[in-house]
Amino acid sequence: MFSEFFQFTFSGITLGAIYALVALGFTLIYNASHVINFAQGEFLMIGGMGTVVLVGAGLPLPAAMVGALVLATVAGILLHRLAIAPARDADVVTLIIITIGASIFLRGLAQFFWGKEYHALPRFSATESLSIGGATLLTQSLWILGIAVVLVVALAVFFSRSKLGKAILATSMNKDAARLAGIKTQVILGVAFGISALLGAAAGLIVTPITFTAYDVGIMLGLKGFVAAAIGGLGSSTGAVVGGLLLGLSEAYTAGYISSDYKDAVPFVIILAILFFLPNGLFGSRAAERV
Amino acid sequence: MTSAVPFAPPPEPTPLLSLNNITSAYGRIEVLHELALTIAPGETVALVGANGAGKSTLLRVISGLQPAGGEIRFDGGSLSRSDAADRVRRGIVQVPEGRQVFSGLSVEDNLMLGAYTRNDKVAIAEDLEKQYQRFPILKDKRRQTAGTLSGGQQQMLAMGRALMGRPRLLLLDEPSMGLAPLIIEQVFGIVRELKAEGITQFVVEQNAAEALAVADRGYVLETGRIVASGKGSALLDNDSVKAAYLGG
Repeated sequence: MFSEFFQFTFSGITLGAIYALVALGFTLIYNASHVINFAQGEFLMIGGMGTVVLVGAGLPLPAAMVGALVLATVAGILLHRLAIAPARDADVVTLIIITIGASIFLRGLAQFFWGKEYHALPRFSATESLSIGGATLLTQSLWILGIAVVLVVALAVFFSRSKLGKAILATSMNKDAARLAGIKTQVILGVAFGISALLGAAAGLIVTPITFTAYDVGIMLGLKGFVAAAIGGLGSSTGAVVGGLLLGLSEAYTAGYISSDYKDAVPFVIILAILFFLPNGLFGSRAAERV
Repeated sequence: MTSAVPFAPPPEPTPLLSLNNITSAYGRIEVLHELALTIAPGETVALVGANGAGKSTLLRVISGLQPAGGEIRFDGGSLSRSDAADRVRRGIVQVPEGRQVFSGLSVEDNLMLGAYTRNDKVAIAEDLEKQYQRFPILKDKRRQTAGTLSGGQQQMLAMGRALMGRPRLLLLDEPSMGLAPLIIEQVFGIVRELKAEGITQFVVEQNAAEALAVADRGYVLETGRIVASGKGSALLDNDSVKAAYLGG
């Protein structure tokens, strides 16, 4: 009984860590530009599929992983340069629609060049699972948690210590004032897209050994990450992490105690409840926007 | 006695900033029309005018935030190919209307972002200390987020942040707006202090009396055109300026 609960909790936290990374990517771009980047899921796909393809081309796993992360980061920066920056004067809704177009485009490229098959990656550790208190823990889950924690801490340090991190924050708080301080806000936005893509790709990569990957995995993972960000109140990074964990846990408990058929319905039930009862999310600002 | 040598006026100092034939529009509505003005090094110049005359637009044009036609020259060079960041690097620094501090960042982070274009760490640390001496309240509150400061303190912060950029030309947009009379005195006290230090300033104000009293020279802007200019004291005595901006 207890071991079952422990098992579900552990897999929920693992899933939640992935959703949290995706949600942080959404949050970062949302803060810097008020755009909800619906191509975020595609970065996860590039992280997973890119690694698979590079391993297939003969690279050792670590080199393939680095290559996929670089590829995704470049894709993120290019998405900004080629699709978002030229439309800088358009309103936010237009930009969001551009990101939807970009996601379809990226998925199409992946399907064309990398094929439609499902792929798996080897687990990072030779030992597949550990047994603790009657529950089975996948070693890959420990990798996922460890890497997620490292990334979240690195991100926190980046924003609180580095000049570039503070310039991103300043740009998200007040774009005109940032430009008056000499910050090139278009460059900063490009950096935000790059970091966001890197986070997404890392999430897509570390989850591939337990969930498989294909050209279209970004749709579902991206949507769930968006739900996690919305639960936390779009724009709050603490909210993104909490939202991700809440979503992962609810999914795991639903799958475990009710039926795994309903697993994918959970995020959408939650998002409806949030929109009805807490439209600003758990950590969103309560105050109305000042005019 | 006559002389063959034609009368030569005393050589004018090269202006630090000169605007020539500046026009700017929001969409199809032109708000600045063929505007020209100059600011000499070390001068404090005031620009007064009613709400909607185009004062803030003009400062946004000078800072490179608002596109404009015409020519802007700074320190002898043209700014036509210079973006906002480059202008800050050259020393054109603006204290924007309504403070515009980074409200979620600490007071110290706000000040440090004012030095974003600089890389001279030692001098930046010295300048930070200077701002803390000039605005002791900022030192007391340096770990607080800027959003928790009062309006007057935010104005001090915005001025401190601009000074961290080592301005050669400081643009002040409505520094007294929405502040209590005592704080307004303090703000203009700082403007006087900076003037004494030799910093060139361009002060845009609705509060014409205060601004013209501090300034060496002033311009009056009406619906996008300069309609009067001259010594600050002379403009203060000018009847039409009095009627329009000083309550008769």
